[in-house]
Amino acid sequence: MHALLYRQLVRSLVMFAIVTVLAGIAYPLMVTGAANVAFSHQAQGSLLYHNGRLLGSSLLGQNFTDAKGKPLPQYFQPRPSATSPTPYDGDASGASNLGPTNPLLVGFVAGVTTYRQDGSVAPRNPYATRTDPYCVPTDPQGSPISVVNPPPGQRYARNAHGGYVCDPNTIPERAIAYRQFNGLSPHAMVPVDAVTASGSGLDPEISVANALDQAPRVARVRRRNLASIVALVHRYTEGRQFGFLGEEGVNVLELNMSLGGEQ
Amino acid sequence: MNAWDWAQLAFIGVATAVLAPLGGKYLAAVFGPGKAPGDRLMEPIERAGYRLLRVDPDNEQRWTSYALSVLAFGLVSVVGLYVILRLQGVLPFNPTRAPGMSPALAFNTAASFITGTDWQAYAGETQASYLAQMAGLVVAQFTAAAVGLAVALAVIRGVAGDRHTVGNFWADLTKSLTRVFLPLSVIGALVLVSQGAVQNLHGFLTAHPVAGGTQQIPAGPIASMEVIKLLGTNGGSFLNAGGAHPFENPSGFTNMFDLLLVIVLPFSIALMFGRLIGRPNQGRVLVVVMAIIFVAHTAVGMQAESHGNHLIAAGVSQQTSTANVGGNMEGKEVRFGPAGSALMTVGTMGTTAGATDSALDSYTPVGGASALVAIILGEISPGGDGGGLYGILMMVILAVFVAGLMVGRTPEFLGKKIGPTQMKLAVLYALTIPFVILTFSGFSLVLAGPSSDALNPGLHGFTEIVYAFASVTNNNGSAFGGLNATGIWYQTTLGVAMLLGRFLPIVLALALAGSLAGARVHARTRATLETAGPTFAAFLLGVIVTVGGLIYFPMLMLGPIGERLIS
Amino acid sequence: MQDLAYLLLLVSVMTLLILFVTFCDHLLGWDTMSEPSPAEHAEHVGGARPHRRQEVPG
Repeated sequence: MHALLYRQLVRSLVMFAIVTVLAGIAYPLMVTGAANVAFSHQAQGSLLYHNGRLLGSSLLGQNFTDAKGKPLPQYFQPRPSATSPTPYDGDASGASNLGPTNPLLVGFVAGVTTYRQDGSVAPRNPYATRTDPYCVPTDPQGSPISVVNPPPGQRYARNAHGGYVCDPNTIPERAIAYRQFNGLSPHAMVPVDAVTASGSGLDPEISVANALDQAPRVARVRRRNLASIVALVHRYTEGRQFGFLGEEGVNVLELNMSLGGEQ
Repeated sequence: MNAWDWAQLAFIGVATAVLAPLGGKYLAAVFGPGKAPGDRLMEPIERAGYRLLRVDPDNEQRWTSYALSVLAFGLVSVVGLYVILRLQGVLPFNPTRAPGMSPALAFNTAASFITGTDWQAYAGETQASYLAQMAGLVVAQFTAAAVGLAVALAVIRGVAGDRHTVGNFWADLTKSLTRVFLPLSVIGALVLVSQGAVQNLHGFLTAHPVAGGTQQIPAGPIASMEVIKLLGTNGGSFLNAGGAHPFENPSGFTNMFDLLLVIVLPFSIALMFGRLIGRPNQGRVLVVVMAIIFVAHTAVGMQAESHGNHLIAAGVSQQTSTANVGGNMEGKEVRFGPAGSALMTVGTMGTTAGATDSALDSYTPVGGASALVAIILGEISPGGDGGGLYGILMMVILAVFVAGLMVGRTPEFLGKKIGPTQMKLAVLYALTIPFVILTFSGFSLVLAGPSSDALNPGLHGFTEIVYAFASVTNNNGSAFGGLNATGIWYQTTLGVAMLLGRFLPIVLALALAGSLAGARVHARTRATLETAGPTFAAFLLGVIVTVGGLIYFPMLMLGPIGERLIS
Repeated sequence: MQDLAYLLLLVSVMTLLILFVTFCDHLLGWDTMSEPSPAEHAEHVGGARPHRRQEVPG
């Protein structure tokens, strides 16, 4: 048996070396060569240049915020991104991984996600505010408080009126901010892609409904007529492939570039 | 689910129904007697390989020698990959300056990729060098797939053949690479690049976004890894976000192409089985059972994700339409939508790929459960390359035995008697994986440290932990990504679970094949239990669901079912 | 130090699996592991006679 095993171990070493050379070196070099001859724009990352400067990739989303992270009203805004430490970080693709019953995602839903420290569920949300019944309060450092009965001595962040400061990353809070930012009525329906983080954190698209909600604001800030902005939205909408694969989406970067004004 | 979603599911069904028989025919030609396409091109290369290995490809091994070859190759491969990952910080071709992996992470990653699990407790952008990815991890992805196919061939020869031998591992491994995985990967990679997947050799680029600041643009040999990740039912990605990342999976078309890359080959292998044994209907029975389970868990997942999360505030529209993507979009990409994401993600869960294009941890309870159920039914819908076939054959043995008892006949399959020895091995096979999962999960849930590594509270956190062990023991490798699995406990226990979950079943399947190899074949009579007809197909389906259900029902109740009921 | 621990762990798991192969072989009552089968013996001598590829009954 030992002789048998020894012989197979030797063969294993040889096989390991052969496959490493064939599949680990020859194969990727061959594929890279062929790919860059036949499809070099895609192989390089579908890069976008303006005046010789690399702006980004048409496949990757990016931020349209000011230096402090506040969204710029003259640009269409992309989806929330959970990459860390900053959104749309190309070095750190990923999702929030928040579960569907996590208050950090859906807020404190009374009787369902209003968890207490011992795991039981409280019947009401003690932090509900007038605008946001699902409010998740934050501490003075900005971190959300994830149970409704934290240990005594817990400090909360308060706003100027003495009310709780709600964690802005929950879906209800994002919806409220979206309606305010886009001048929609407090009861307007918000498209779900606008208040949820993407799987990659680099999603280049938003839904058409999301883009059309933002179009009036962009038109107003840029002093252009709404119809021309909507036409641009439709120009940069990618339909389902072959008519039925995938979903329609608007490429935010290409749309914003077409608005003019990039450095 | 709307009409578009059904159209995509139907497209997958039709495409598989067309491609799998072609694949089965090709594979049967390659691995059966006689000539095969590609002989003239590949035989010189294969012969050179045999010379280097000092192997006579026609020299067949008994099951024990075959199993020892598999284990020896596994050991050498894990140690070799471990060394590469530990040293990647000082080895060449490291433009992202990834440091050498810690011993725990290197162990976990090496065990993971060699077993085909491809569980990744690291982020590709910053923690793996190009050399390690390209010449370490991708090599493991090729060999994991080839080993699976080789073992399946050995099992087929033992169960159906007339000799005491089950083939030559080195020949099977070589041909799997030269005739299946390498050529198909070259073609597949180029298709992916044409759609936008990235393939180059330089480091990340720094872009200057429109609104200011900088953004890193990833680069590297991504598509060449992506294709074998899928074709080899592996699942490990170059970039952290995997199939959600636009550089790996840029469009609605690549999303469906990816799914086909994953599932067509396992279905083809089942049809190859039928052809090699001269009973094509036997292969078709297996395919039908696999397909029914596949459609069931996939459609449930698609429906759950399209329907959305009912806890989301009323002012948010989850209604699906062309303008509003709708559904549960947390952790998903707009270009795929909720149903397309579930179709791809839950679809690959029935194989050991576990390649996701969306964040499983954020799926609805029913959606997450559909992924978990696909895994715990034993990865046979349609299963991994090779693994799906020997997996379902073990269930066939169980089913034949139970059926034989029920009708009062001596159980036999393909004319060979299924006796107590075979049953011992089949039952051990059925119990090994659940035993590993439930034991390791149990300890992880009870010990203070590991049980607090879950991200989400309550029952969802419970699911994160049991899902991890269910996934890696079945060599799936997908995760509820919120679980912090970077501590020594999880790195080590998950690594051990992967090795046991891969090699124990392989040894058992080979032993069973060896026990039947060269056994006496009884002539078919009117009293023989028909295993190639619809009654047996239905019965096999029942056995699979019952065995899986009975073992895992408590776990499901405590996890996703419980979560749904209380929310 | 940790490297040694993990390599040892690996070798132990693999040894366990190899022992498991022996156990299964014993279960099958063959105990074929002690001596190589005639075919492998011929291969060791160097240059086995070419065997017909295994065919399965059709």
